[in-house]
Amino acid sequence: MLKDITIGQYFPGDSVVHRLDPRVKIVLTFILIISLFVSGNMLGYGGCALFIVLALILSKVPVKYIFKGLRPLLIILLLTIFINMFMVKGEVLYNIGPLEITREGLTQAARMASRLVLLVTGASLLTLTTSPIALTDGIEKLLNPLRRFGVPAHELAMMMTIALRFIPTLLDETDKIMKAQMARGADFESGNLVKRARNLIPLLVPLFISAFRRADELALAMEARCYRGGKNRTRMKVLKVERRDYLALATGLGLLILIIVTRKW
Amino acid sequence: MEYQIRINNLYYKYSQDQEWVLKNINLGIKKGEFIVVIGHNGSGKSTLAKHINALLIPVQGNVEVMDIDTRDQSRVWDIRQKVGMVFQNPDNQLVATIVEEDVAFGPENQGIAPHEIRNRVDEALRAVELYDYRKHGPHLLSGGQKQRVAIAGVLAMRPECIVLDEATAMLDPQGRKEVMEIITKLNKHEGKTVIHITHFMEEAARADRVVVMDNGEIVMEGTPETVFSEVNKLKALGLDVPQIAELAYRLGKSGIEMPNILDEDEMVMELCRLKSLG
Repeated sequence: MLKDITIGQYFPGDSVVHRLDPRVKIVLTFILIISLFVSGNMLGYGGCALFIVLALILSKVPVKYIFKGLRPLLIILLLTIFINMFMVKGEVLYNIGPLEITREGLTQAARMASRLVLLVTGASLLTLTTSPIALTDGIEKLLNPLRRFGVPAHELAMMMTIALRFIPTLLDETDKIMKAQMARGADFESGNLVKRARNLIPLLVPLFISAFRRADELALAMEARCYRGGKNRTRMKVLKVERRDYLALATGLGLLILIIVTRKW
Repeated sequence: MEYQIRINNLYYKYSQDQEWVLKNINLGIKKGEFIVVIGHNGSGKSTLAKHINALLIPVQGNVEVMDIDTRDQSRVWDIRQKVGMVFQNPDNQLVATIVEEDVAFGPENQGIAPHEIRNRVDEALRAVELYDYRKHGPHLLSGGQKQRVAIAGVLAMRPECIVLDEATAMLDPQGRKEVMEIITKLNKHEGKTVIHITHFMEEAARADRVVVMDNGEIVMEGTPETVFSEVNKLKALGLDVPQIAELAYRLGKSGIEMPNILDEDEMVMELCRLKSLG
């Protein structure tokens, strides 16, 4: 049952988007988010949508993966639409009982909905086309200049890598402990919330003890392999910005400028 | 003969008010030797292993690795490069989410140039016969494969000596066989010194030299044939002997003259020879 959890829903591939430098992709995602928030009209959203659709086609990621990412958003999306539709005051178009639908409400609802959908689609395109390891690499390199101000860039990236490495291991272990405790009569499924939370104790205690033991052994193994922090460390895979990266970056920046210029139209 | 690793009058305890975990250990290991250390739980064999790459520093006496004293703080990283270590739990020593990234971890820490790391990683993965798995996640591999990745991670640092600290203890028979084949190959063909700590007697039978530890001391030392011929002494220490050695011992006890044999084929030959004599 725990096997269904997938973290970082990476869709392996070899498209242009997959091969883009992870740093460029992270920066582009941020540009997109900024664009969506500064954009004031449908023209801006159209531009963003065009940009995402283009990236989606180039990435060759099946559209159903995108929809899968949107599904958990559905409730929030509907709620946003309804609240905006009925709560915004203005020119009344329809009356449903005491509720009023206004012109301003409708535009506001459409704007919010497209903003949300585009935001999530853009962000999931990043995780769909970038492997977790490339993502952590990109984050490390982007944070590197901030090291002067005390941001532990290497340490953060190393923590993320180790966390990603141990997620499947710990999920396996959770499954095993659950089965072992269930064989001893533990009940994880019935009772109210408080009771269920209390029933998790026989699962969490052994899990934590074992995680600490693992951490201890891993630290020893890392030391035995000459790990001494990020200083003087090299990487096997060196990130290199190529022509396609500049092109992608230029497109993103162009979009942002266009949106800023046209926002008052 | 020059020793690669020398352990002189080594004493160790974990804290002041404890008893000695290691007592008066003296051991010289030559380049290219295959040494197996056996002993039951708590005999100090893992503690001894951790002294060889300066994870532990002697309380008394000293350990020298290629003439570098492990007490010399400034040379710790040189020692750890020369002596690679593989641990017991295959899950708790792999760092990265992709096999080849994990193998690259050691050389990356040493600050080696990227293209050179690539060469070393490919070479190490071929040596452990896992090159085709280089893009896999470690959690998708079997126990034996994970330990081979760990061995590759050590090999990529180009060590002179590999210490396996009960590296086969958590594996199934198939995984144990894979790991033993790889370390035997590395020892015979690449000339790596191997120090293998185990409690599987069948693995000890393949060594050049067997060291038996009990209660923090070395109690027996010699070729597998001589060590395993002393069946009574080993049993008194609570240790098993390989099946073949046990058979030879029992035949000897019932009056049939047997040489010291550990190999199955040799035993068959010897028994056939005896049979033909009538």
